[in-house]
Amino acid sequence: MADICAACKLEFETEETYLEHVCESTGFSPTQVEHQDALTGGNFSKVAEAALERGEERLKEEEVKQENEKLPLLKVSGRIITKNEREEIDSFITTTIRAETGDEAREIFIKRYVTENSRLIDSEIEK
Amino acid sequence: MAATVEICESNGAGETVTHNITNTNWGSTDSANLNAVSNPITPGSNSYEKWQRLHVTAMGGSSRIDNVKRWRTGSLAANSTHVTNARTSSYGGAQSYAQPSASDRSATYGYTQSVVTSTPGSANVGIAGSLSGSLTGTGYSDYSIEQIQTNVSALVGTTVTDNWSYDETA
Repeated sequence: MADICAACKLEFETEETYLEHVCESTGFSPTQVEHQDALTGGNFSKVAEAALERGEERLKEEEVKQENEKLPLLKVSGRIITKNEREEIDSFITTTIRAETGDEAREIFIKRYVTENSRLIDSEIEK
Repeated sequence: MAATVEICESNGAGETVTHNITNTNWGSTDSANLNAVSNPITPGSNSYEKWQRLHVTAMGGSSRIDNVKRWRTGSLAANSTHVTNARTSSYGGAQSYAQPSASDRSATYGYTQSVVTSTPGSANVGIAGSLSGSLTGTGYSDYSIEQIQTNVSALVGTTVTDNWSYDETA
């Protein structure tokens, strides 16, 4: 097994020695962002920034999901609505119904959702 | 500060890892950054497989790298297909390295999927054998194995873009 740095063409016996070397092509080691930026004309930093943004966004989503899972089960018209249904309802309420009528509209929507077992369109909601 | 990430390709019987490859040129030789003009795929044959991985060389203060995706943008020329082991469901797990071959070994190494041409909705390259796996220190993703398969009517010279993405948590 051998490890080759594509930039400076040097060959190393182990991954560790590859990671520790200072690349003759860039002047930095492969563990440094500057090494990648030198090889990509600065694009690597943009790629990394976008990766961080995606990661943070997913982290927030996971936190919201965990919070939702802590909510008590909701039983409507004789059956418990599923987590996916509840997320769909919450998303719908959040995005389409005015905050001041949210509670009432939520109840109406949930009853219709469960009864008809189908997604309601905006015009069917009593606001 | 961000994590430092590169794409590496493995070649040869004893696994030589070429770090930070600059292209994924397909051809008739088992080599990283190969010259496609000097090593064209004969119509009716397959390219040598590409065994590539995402490599985290430093975490840079971040805590997690995950959600590795790979896809192609651009269309292949007629009479050729681009296959992979990357998939968003029913993932076959991590493959152990084998010297790349120009034979169709898709059944053995799981590259039975056509490469997708838009960003997958979720990870399609695993880490530690799982699509929900993550790296919390230096290390590699699973091998992403791809091959170009042609028939006798295929034409040489198609250029497409090979895309990778990952998520990073600070």
